[in-house]
Amino acid sequence: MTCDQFDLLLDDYLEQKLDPDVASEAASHLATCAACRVRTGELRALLEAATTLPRDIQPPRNLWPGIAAQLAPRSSRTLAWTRWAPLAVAATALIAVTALLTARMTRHDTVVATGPAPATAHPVTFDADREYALATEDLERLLAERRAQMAPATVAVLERNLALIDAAIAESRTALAADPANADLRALLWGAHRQKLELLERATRLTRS
Amino acid sequence: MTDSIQRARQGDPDAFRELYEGHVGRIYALCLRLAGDAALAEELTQDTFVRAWERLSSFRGDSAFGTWLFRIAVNVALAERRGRGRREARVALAADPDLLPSAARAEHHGDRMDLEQAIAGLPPGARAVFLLYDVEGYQHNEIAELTGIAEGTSKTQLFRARRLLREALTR
Repeated sequence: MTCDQFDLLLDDYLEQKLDPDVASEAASHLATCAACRVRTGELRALLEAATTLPRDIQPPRNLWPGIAAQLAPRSSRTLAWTRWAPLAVAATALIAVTALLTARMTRHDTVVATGPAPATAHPVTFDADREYALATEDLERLLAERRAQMAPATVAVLERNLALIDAAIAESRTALAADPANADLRALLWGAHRQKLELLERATRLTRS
Repeated sequence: MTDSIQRARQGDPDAFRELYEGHVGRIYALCLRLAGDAALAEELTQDTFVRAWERLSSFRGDSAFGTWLFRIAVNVALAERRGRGRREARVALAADPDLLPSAARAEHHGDRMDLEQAIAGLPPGARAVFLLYDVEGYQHNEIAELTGIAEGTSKTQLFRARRLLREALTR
């Protein structure tokens, strides 16, 4: 057996996958070839090292809020693809829709004022508003630390967009407080939160690149 | 099937959070090594759990939840690579040791760090097969099923990965 032939069989030799006859031939070659013994030692060390790599590495930040933001409401998951859409346009549109729905809700209030919706009419399974707020707080803190790395023009655009989204969040919260059973408003609030989260994530990613 | 899985299947996000907390380290480690980029690994990890939430009703408990989730992570990571065509960019990033995942830098030292760097420098296809076979213990037929490549391609990529790693580590 030549060294080239042995090299082709080396992996299977170490994994004991060769037929007995071939394995015996390979062993004979190995016994007489120092260079192939070195190669064999290198591969064995590599395979052993691979098994010692940690299988568990905790991410540097809590990823749950970003996940939770996409779990509720399930039907809004399709909005996730808008991650890279122009955020200023999205935020402006969001505010416009919020305003429209707020106006609609106000009219609705006058009709239902004598009979408030029961508490069970809005089955929020967990505090998504709080989860979003926690997520954005983390990113805002990170972004503040890295703000010096960004061009002033970028910071200005970012702050303008954040202000728009914050206004949408505040407006949605106010409207939702007046009409807790309104699923449309709740979806709008979560949508605004998601926009903010995505904008912040995108901005922090820019500072990393 | 555990109580957390059953409750999560019924739509309980708190139960799903328990599952997240139990498995995120394993999924992030895989994504970090497959992506070779910490920021992308975070995205992939999040996408994996969101995808798992959406598919929970299809989890029958035939395999362990961790195994099921791991398969989703592999699919998410490979789909991202195919979809966004980041292959060249990731290879270029991974080739620069200063740009390696900070989590990996913090966690590993010496020879292990050298190996992490060398793995990150592999071409993506070879890297994926090496990680699945030599680190995670999958067989070639399982890798073929998981990644959509032929079993022979998996063997070839493993051979290539090991040679490249040996070269990188003995330089």
